Amino acid sequence: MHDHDLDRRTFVQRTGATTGILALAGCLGTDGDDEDEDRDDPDNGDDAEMPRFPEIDDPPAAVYRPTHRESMRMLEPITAGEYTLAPMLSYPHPFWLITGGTGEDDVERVDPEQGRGVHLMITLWDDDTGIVLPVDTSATIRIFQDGDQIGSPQSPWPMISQEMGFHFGDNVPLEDDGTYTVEVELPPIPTHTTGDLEGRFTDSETATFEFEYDQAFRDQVVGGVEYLDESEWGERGALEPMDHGRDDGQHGDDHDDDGHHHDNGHVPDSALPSAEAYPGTRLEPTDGVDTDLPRSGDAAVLVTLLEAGSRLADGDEQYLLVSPRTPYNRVPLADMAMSVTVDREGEPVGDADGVALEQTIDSEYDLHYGASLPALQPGDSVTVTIESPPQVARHQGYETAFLEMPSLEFTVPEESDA
Amino acid sequence: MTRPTVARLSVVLAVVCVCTLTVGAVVPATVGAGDSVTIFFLEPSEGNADAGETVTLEFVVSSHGNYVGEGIDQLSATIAYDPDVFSVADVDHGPMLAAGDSNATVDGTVEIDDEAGLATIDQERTPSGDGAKTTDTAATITLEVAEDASSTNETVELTDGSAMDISEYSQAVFERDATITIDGTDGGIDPVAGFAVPSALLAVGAVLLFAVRRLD
Amino acid sequence: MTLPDRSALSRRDYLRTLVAIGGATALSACVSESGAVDVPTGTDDPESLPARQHAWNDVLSRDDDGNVQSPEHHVLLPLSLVDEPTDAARAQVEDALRTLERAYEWSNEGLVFTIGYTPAYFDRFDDSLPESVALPEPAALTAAENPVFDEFDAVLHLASDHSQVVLEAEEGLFGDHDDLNGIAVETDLTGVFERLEEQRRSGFVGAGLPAEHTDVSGVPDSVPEDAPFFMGFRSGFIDSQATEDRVTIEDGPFAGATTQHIESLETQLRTWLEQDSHPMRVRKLFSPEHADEELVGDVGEKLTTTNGLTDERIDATEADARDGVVGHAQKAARGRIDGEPPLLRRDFNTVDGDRPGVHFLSLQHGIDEFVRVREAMTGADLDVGNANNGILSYIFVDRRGNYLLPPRSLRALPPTNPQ
Repeated sequence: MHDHDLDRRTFVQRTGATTGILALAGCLGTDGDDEDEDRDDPDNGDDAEMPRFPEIDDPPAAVYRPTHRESMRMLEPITAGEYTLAPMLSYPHPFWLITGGTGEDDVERVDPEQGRGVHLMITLWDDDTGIVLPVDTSATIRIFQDGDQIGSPQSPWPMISQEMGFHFGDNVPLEDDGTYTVEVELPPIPTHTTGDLEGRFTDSETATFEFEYDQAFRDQVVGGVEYLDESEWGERGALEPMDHGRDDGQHGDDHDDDGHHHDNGHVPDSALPSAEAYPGTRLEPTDGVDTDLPRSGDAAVLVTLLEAGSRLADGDEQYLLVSPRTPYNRVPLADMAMSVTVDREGEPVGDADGVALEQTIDSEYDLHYGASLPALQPGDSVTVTIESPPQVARHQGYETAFLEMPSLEFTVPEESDA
Repeated sequence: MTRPTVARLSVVLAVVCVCTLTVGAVVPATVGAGDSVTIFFLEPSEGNADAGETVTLEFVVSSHGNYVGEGIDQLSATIAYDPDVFSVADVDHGPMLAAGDSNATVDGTVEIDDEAGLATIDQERTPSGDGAKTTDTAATITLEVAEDASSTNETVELTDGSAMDISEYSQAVFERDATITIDGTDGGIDPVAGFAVPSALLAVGAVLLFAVRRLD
Repeated sequence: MTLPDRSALSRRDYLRTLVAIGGATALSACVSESGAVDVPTGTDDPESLPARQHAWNDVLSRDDDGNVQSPEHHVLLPLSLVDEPTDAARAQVEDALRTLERAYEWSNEGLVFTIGYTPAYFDRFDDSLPESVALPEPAALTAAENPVFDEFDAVLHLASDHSQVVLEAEEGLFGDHDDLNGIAVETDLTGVFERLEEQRRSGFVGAGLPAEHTDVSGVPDSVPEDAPFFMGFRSGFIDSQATEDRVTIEDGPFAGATTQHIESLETQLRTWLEQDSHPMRVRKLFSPEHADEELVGDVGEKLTTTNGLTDERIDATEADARDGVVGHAQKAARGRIDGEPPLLRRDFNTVDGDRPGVHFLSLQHGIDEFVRVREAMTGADLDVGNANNGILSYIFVDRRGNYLLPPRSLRALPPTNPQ
């Protein structure tokens, strides 16, 4: 036997105890069209149908449920200046890069370059407010083993996933088992900040953490993967966000053998407040929608008009707050470009080319896009144009959504609750 | 390469069947790995046999490797059967794990516990190289049906499956069992309709066994 | 320093590695490897050489499109003064440098070189530099960087197509080597300057050279076969470079001088070459339109003498940013002055520290022009995420240094205000 083999008894108990696994009964159909040429090998001469691999051939152009929940090892959060970072590690896996958003070359599936290594993720949040900072910080990561830097520095990708929400991450190839040290440099955050966040995040900070890469790690992060029932694969919907208090989302009590302390009960979720939590006059979609919020490219878009005098508005203007988020999990959609135009009785009000909305992080309303506008009137038509979709990398289930994002048209309602 | 020790060796009068696979006989899969998947299944997934005969099942392993295209270089599985009905007559290691490299061999062991009804197969590819990515037979198992077996539907289960790629990450293993309809001494239940022994498949079985023995 | 295993490397890679190692042992290994390289000798007549140290373009080779080709091998030798400058020391420096000029033809086949002086060097003088010279202390130029600054006195840049020549010249100036291409070394730089070996830098340029370094950690196998630079594309197009005249200081006591900025970067090639697709790389390095119109080719071969940045494409930078991605060259071209590129780039690849990088060496009239272009390239004003902001998320600045390259007549320990 090999010493890295799983303890099968423990393993069966663990997986057997989880929900979702039993749901696999009957889920794995056959694939009559399996293209595995090896099956045509004369040695195998029979064309019996074989079970189908868990793959989603033609996912919808919307948020969809992937084949499985990922699993990860959470390291102890570390603080650096105003920030706290929660590092998380999983096995190397594909993700999708976005460079633009509407053309065929704009989305690129990225497979790991090699099997050995980790998928490194970091959730970064403000210690004071607990707000996960959903911005491209241009952080720099350097990885060391025994004091020597491994590979080149890298800027982790801003990413969204159904389980993790907004985070930074990348696949990191590693060769040898052992202890690795990760140094994260965080430059000042250039994004516009408001409320209690105004004037914050102006210093560069450096955080350092270590992790073990060994067979116990590899067994842990693959051991916790849960496959969904095949009937759910590719269906519209999303996985529940991970319970950050639990390591790998399944079993929080059997992995202290690696020496890590797992007091991870305080990793905040990046989810935005629910729509009801936003004040102001909610603008009404001109075309009726059957969802709570209108959708563009399957993103749910909250648009509310804060009254003049709002702390976010300039002078006596009103403030248009646009808060795009993923459906189901309310993950903030960062690094979009949006503008707004207003029409009154068919004539443009103000700049006909529209007013750019500024990406902003607010201590109360979190990530949104906003602009101060001269007073709108009931009946005004407000068009939110999405110039570029969220330029954030995607985990599976988000890569086909938030790409083609048509503009949304709203009407300022007669009655204002502002 | 260890030969399985079995109490009785029978002539491989393989009762092999080609059946239209009816979905539903799938057991909960062991999910032990990342989203790189290996599928373990037994072929035929449904068959029948008379008391006192032998049944030959192919333990087939299908892997696309991991995301990088690295294949697997280790696998193991336990075949669980009802010891009152079956005993293991023979287990031959198949070529699956050596796929893609004519110099690679399959080093395997089999532990048979006929009292508990468990046959555990462990295999390793030497040298690991790029690992195996294919669909092929990992082992051929010959089961002898007890002389006094009653007519019944017996499940031969695949359990505790594990497959590891050359990067030492385990793969998610999906397992599918087989059902053998026993035509017992009591007259029993009707065999599956249209069930026959295709001679071509017997020939294939022979080729496979030969191929395996060359790896010994 | 131990020599690399000859059998493990291609000849070119072996020679490149020897240049990176430097020293007498590397030189002798290089000589034995290169055998009898016929290096043209130089001149006894200093007047026959250009008045500007940076006048290289006329003597370097050209590619089929007429672009100036950088010499293949480069060494940057950081120097520290042993004592305060004296006339005797000046004479020694001048004699030593003239020895190089006698030994090697002023060309890529022989040797081209410059010596530049830092603001720290000029600080020792009572007078400040004349207003015609814009040479501030080096500074961090982006919020994300925390570079070490070149605070030694001078840097000697040696460049040749022959690895043997750059090694031999260095050893002639600082080592025991007393014969340079048949010319006896009577005066060297020892006693005046110390070599700061810890900060010695080296590098290479040339089609195919980057692809020969996939043995280095961080250089993926996917480096394009024919690419002259690690990022996978040609650069240095003649119409996208400043002319030597453009970067020359014309007035004042340092007329004929230029300024030099050296930005030493590490590059993240794994994500660049393995994760981004070719169209994404073209967008991020040139402009989105370069990708959409397929203007570049695999390694930039479709671009002949220009990086293809028309006024329209430059003007589109802000709009492209809002569409999600903006090109590095496109952004930087916003730093053009009256439509002309202000920088003369002589950057080269490196694997110093056994990691891939670039020594981005740039000549310009004043350092302020470098800063102008670098700020345009950084694009902090653009509404675009870091990951799609040109190549910002693939480059990591380690060092910066500013230098004055005096005219040849003043290259030996110049005062701040020469008469």
